[in-house]
Amino acid sequence: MQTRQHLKDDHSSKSSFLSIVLALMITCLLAGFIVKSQDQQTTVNIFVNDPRPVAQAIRELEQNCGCVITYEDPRYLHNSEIVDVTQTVRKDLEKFGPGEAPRVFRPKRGTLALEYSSTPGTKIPINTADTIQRLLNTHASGNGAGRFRLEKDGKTFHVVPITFKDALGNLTPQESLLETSISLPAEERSGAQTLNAICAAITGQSQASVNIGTFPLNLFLQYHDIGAVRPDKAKNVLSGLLESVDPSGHLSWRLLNEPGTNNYVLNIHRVPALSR
Amino acid sequence: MDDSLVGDYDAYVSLRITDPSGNILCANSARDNAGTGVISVGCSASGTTPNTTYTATGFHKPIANLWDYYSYYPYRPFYYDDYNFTSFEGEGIHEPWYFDFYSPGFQEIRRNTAPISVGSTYDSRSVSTPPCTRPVRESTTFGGWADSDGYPTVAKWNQTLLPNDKNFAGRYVTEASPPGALDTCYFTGSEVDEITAVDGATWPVESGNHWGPDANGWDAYSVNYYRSHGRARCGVTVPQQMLINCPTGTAAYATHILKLTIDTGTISSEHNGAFAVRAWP
Repeated sequence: MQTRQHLKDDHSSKSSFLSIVLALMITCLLAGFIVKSQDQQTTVNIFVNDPRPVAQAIRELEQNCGCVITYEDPRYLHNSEIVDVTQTVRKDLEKFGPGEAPRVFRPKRGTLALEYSSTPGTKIPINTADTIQRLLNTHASGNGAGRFRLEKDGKTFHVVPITFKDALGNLTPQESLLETSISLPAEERSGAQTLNAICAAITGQSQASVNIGTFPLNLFLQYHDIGAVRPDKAKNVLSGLLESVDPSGHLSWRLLNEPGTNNYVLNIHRVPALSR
Repeated sequence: MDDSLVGDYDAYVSLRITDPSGNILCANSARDNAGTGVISVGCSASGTTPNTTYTATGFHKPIANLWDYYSYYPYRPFYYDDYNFTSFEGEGIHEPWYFDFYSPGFQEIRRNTAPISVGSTYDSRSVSTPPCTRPVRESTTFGGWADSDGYPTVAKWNQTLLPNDKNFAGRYVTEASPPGALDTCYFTGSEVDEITAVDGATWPVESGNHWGPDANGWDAYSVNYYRSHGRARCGVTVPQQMLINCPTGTAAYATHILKLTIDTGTISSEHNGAFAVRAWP
């Protein structure tokens, strides 16, 4: 009995010892995991110096995350946000007298720097929405042109303008052109024709003019549809078209404003899929 | 002693597939733990290269498991007389009723051996992936301007895969972008984005080895935009690598240069050496 008791005590003390060792091992493992996790986080820096710094930073972020982040310009009207680049852009100045060449404007350059944490071994932000929002906040605090709002629709992010600086320098509310309600009649169209129809519909329903810039022409010519588009936001109609043309969901857009005007150009590009 | 043992065999098999360099593409193993002596294993290799021989090597090994008790129902033990080195099964033995064991008497002991490997064999079989027949080149002809598509400044190009004596119909060609694109119309701050790559489109190869059309060009607005911004004469040069699908993966068969030019009164397109120009508007 005593022996048994002794054995039991011995067993009990062994168990306690094992428990302590186990607890220490678990603690060490947890500590190691946290440290390792911290070590494995990668910091990615984005620095842009561009006439459209938000658009350019978004483009880089898109490539880093392999995700779709659409972008719409604010209007560029105020002199402080526009620069005359006629002399450097035009190749036909010899055809005009001094100062007579049609002037070319572009948005004034701005810089934007952002640092974010990415998942180990990649440039994919740990929190993409937070990273974009910090980018927009940095732009706003740096007094860059326009203010933006971030929207999320499924896996897609939209950066849309909410204010621009008017000709007098006042911050003026701006509604996204792609909030315009449009509809399209039922008829057979290629994706390229539907894209044209969307731009024409926005132009018809708004004070702005929207035209097509560059886009993956063959993808849009190969896709055909005959369905009507019921009244809906242009953004939803455009998103639907892009998903139909490229079901992989890698098409994105940039809607860019021509400085000093209310003309916009819609560019569509493919976001490269990340190799896993 | 052997007479007192019962047992069965487990089967162990493994399989690996290697490429001609001996690299293992996949490996797998399995063991029959039910004593039936039957087990199978398989593994699947992907990403293989056309016209290449791969070898599957199988390894087989029976493993003997011996017990001094039945490992199955009714799980009767053997009764050992360690003193006399005899044993009998404790099953319905009543005669002779006077049978007795000397000390230390009989004990109910269950013992089994460690698994015993009783040799192994292997065999192998090789298989070659089918070769990917690919075009040696393709010819290009102008298919007109895309007026009917609402894009009068876009040229359409039709291709024929060569040689003619090989049939590529039913397969697909895809374009890819090697580096080297140059867009001299684009300028920093332009609202029309820079062209940096081909679309990455895919076309089915039709009968006669024809595929297309491959549409190249800017939209009319962009042509006017660059002209009104004083960029003409300007253009874009984009390399286009062509790939055809194979039983496994794709194979590149040609690389072309695509050129688009905006002049003050004309637009032109060049595709794989073929050229088209149009006065526009």
